[in-house]
Amino acid sequence: MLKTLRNDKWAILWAVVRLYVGYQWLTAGWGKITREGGFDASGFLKGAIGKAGGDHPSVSGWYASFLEGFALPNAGLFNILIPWGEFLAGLGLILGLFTTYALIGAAFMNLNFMLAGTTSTNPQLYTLAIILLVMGSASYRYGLDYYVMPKLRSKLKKDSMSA
Amino acid sequence: MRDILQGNKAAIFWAIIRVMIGWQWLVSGWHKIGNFNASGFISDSIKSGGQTNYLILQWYEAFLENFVLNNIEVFNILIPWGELLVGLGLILGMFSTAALLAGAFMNLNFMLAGATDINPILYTIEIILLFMRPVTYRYGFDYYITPKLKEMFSKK
Repeated sequence: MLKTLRNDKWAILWAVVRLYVGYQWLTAGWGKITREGGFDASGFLKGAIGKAGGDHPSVSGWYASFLEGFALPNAGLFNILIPWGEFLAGLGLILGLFTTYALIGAAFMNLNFMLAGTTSTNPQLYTLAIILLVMGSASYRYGLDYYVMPKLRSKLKKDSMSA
Repeated sequence: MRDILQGNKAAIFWAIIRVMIGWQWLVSGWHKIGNFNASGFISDSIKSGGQTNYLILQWYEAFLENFVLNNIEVFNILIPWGELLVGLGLILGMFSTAALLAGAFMNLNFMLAGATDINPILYTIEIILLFMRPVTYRYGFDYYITPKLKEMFSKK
């Protein structure tokens, strides 16, 4: 079944899915990069930490302590990482360039946003990213990776042989 | 790498993970049986849909409002028993593929309805376990049942 899903015809669907997911990330990242006064995650982080208490917490205790002990003190770093990470993941997915890395980065961000108590489009983007990862090379059959990846592989092979 | 992850030693690790998340499902299902009503949670989800930069997506909100709330009695039985059976299947390692698919599907829906907590972690682990098959149930009943089931179906 997977073999069929990875053929050239199905790859058209995966390209459409890739473009949709990529566009979502690109606009989300761009919106944060161009935000007046810059993007500041600390308000969101504090809100997420507050959601860890009560009878039905939406944030697990261990994740709240990660946010409190690591993410919040380093909010300056995350304020740059998140907008640019989102933007680059989106660009990679739209172009189909370094698709696998873009998908892993995107899925990792979705997972963390969900752990921090945000749902919105995260569950569906996370699921679509995982499906695209499973489709492997079919996800970039119609993307730049289709041309770039074979060249990278042969170059890496040559380098390791000459070393 | 796949060889190591799907070896017999790694299988012990996957079995432990499987039993751990199975226990989570079993307990959470057990507490809901007989006294569960999802309508409060779902009404809250729908309410939060309009505000706070749409925490719940519109298509899912429409599904909750038009389908789930109107058939709430079905869901009040389906969710507790579904959770309990998923937990039982995972702990025993019996029909574990079906249990993992059903569990992941429930987690996805809970997240779409705005509940996060442990759902993202369970969802991720279930997807990993689905990919580790058949090692997932190397130490489980499926290891003995699956070959027999296959044999039965191929006879026909």
